[in-house]
Amino acid sequence: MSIDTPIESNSNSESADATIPKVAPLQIGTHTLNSRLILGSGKYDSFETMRDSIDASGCDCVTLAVRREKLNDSSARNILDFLDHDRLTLLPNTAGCYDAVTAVRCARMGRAILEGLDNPGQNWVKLEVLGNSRTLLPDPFELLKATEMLVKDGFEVLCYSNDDPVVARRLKDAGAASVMPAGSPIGSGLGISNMNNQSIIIGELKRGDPDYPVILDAGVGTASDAAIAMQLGFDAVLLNSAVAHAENPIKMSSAMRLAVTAGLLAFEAGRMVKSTYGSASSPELGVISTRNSLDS
Amino acid sequence: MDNDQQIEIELNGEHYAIEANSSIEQLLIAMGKGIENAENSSPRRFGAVAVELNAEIVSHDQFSQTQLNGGDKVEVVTLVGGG
Repeated sequence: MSIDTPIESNSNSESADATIPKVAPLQIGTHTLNSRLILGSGKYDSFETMRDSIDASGCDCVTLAVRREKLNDSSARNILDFLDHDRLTLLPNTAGCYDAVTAVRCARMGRAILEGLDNPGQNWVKLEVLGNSRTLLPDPFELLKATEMLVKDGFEVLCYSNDDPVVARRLKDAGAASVMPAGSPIGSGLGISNMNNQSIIIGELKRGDPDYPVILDAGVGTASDAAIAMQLGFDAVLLNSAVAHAENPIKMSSAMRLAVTAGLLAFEAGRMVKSTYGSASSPELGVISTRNSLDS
Repeated sequence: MDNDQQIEIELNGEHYAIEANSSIEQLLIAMGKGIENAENSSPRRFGAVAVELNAEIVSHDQFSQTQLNGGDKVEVVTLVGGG
């Protein structure tokens, strides 16, 4: 049974303008990512659209979920036939787990699968321990417990967290390789709902440890959300629905790629100071009009 | 159980009957999870699966040596799309 060319050779060379500064690679635990975008592999209309969206994103890390095999279905197409897992680092998640013990089991299953594939993602996990099925927001208590258990078991743990600075700190102290606060609920597309908390989280986790990776995970709706996240100082953005549920996922994926780079460059460049009043960009001297009398 | 050649296990949360003395490898083959054209390879390859037996992971190289017993709880999982 041959599937028609699931994986096309993907030219990962930047077609972008050579004047755009290079983005430094990101170190998360033992993993080095060249792209600041991590893409989810769920919710696409087809595996082909997923594959093409991943190519367009330029990402080198893709998340996946662990699920039961169907008992009587050996004919189903496998997502791995559409993921270049020789090139991509796979990041298994524990999505759908509601307690620490189940999440740890799920993480170990993901590790066992990637060991079988000989993929470098076998030593890390995106840890998700949910507290509510409507909001899909994390249960911070079970999350912390699961983090401790997995760190002890040798995992590099990337924690999907809520946007609470104290919880984020506790996760880092427990040994999380990265803390990944939610911008807003998973799949909501609401963007970053508490910008100030996110800034505090970034500031606190990087205090005295500027290379500690902090990633915005969940809530991104469109490219500006991803750019804003990077401008705030996040090291990367993890998203799925914003691309998979865009009218044109492949084009949105390109937009996300550019947005993440733009946001990072803007952050590194350092934004101007905001002012309540205007400040003319053209000289006052030699202006041919008289000053507006309403000024007084 | 009226057939003493068979044992019943719980596979992915469902009742599942399998020949007594089956290994995990035989279970996976019965599920159709062997990789095509790999029948003669040794050890047999199963690709993107993980197996948990009574909440403990069984590594791929133990599939052929791990026997199933009646009442065992087995999870056979794979990777799917997710965020």
